[in-house]
Amino acid sequence: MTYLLHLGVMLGLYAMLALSANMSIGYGGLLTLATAAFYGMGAYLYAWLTATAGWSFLAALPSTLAGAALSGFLFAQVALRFRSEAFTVATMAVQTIAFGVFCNWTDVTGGAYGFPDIPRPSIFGLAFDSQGAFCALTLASAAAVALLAWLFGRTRFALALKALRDDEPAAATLGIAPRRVFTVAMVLSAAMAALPGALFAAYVSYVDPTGFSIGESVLVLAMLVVGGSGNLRGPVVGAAILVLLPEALRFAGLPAEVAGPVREMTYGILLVVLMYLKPRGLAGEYAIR
Amino acid sequence: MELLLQLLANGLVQGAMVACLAAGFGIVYRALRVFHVAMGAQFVFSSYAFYTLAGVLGWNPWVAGTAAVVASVAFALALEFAVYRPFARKGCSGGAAMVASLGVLIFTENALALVFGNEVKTIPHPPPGMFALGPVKLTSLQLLQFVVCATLFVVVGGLMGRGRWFKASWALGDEPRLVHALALPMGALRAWTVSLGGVLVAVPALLVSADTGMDPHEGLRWLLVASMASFFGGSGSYWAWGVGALAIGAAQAFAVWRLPAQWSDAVAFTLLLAALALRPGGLFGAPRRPEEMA
Repeated sequence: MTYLLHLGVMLGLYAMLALSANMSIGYGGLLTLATAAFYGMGAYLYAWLTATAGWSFLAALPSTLAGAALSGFLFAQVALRFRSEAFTVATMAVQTIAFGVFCNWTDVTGGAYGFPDIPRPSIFGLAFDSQGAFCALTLASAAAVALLAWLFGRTRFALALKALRDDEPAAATLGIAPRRVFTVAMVLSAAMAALPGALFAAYVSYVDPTGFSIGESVLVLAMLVVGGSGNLRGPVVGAAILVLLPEALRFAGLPAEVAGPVREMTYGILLVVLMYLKPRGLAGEYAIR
Repeated sequence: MELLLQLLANGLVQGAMVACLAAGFGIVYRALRVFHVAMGAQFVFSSYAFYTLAGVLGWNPWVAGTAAVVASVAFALALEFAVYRPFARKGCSGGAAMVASLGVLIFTENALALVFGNEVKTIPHPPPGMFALGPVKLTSLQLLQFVVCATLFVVVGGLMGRGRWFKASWALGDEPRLVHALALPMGALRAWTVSLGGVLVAVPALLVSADTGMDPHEGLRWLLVASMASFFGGSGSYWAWGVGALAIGAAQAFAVWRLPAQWSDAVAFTLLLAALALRPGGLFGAPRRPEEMA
């Protein structure tokens, strides 16, 4: 049962991450590889606020999201100077810079030794210290993010974002301001990535930089490629498949040192095959251009 | 002053290697219109080919190095025929090809991790000699890295303006439709271009791995370094890639002046990103608005 609850937590966390990346990639057409930078920022910021500054969950979480949103705003000011592949390179650079900070700013992050003793959340006296309670909290958060994403998809703003994605100069002639709209999307995306970061930190009570490398950003991208993007279904389907796939390999009896690389190799093959045969993914609306 | 000269020399060595990588990335990106993420896969593949031949089988390092370069070219051709060409024939988007190229990188890195393990592998060699050029001290391996990579970069750059296939490869990036109009063999030209890229990536890869060893997951870092150099110089000029590479080499070398060495990548990328934000077309590229890059 503990194992299933752990899977539920992971599913919730990655669904939120995939929905975050979907905001930039699926709705905005901005292929980012910096999702893990904001995921990590959420984890470290939450860890510092709760474990070092002694803030409560309810105070630390909104502050974490606000901090990530501000970082997303600053990130957008630089990254939106570019488009297409140059944008992706800029996001890779930001991811590398963030990872360097996680690894080397040891006074705050603990560096390679990690950040220990992060408290489990407690809301109005209700402690989420059991596996079941935390799984419920994570899935409820994922459901709330999915609901907000669904509502977002019905707004005029989402239509404007999609219009920019499909033809930026044409959309701009219709009065849509690319920089403003893309900036808002990237701010939302950053905050959405920080939420699972904070929950992850609270869940494992310890964070180190290995969980926030560019490999994690690639994994989230793979979720959008497999499941699809540009709508609500695709990212959730992709997250479910890529969270459950390693578990299937586990039951296949492969030793851990083999299962890890085999899982990653499978992601690699999926990226090539799906981009060729099904560029919209299994349930998406947008084909990466 | 001596320290600054030493850092400058280190930056030049690093810059020469990055210049070859930037050229290996840039010519494929430019000619095939594919953001060549699998360049990182070529980097680690050729490093491990060298390790297998020289470190495990005990071949002479020069013979092993030559064979590893050939292996890199074979890898590049396999990539072209199995991935890039089918994607081009189907008319897939640049983004789709880029993600597929990323898939090749992930597959290759993890296949190597499966075979060789995740730990750093080194090729045993006697301690390199030390050369003093005034106040600057370089190891024989650093000198070899600089001489070989600078020579390769300059020779290929010279041929880009003279050799028929080199010029055709460059022209392919300028105007692909002209290749058909001039009755040039498109398929052979693409294969030639990725092969040339394979050589330009393999040579610095071998020299880096001989110096500091290799691990299967360093391909993405080198891809980022190479692509940043290419974009920073400006994607339309071969020599500009060299300038971008020297800027990265210098930034990485000078970062360790005031900060611990592990900050060098973060500092270098921050500086380059800031510079690129001010001039998105690169140092020698024409100024462009963001939407023009799409």
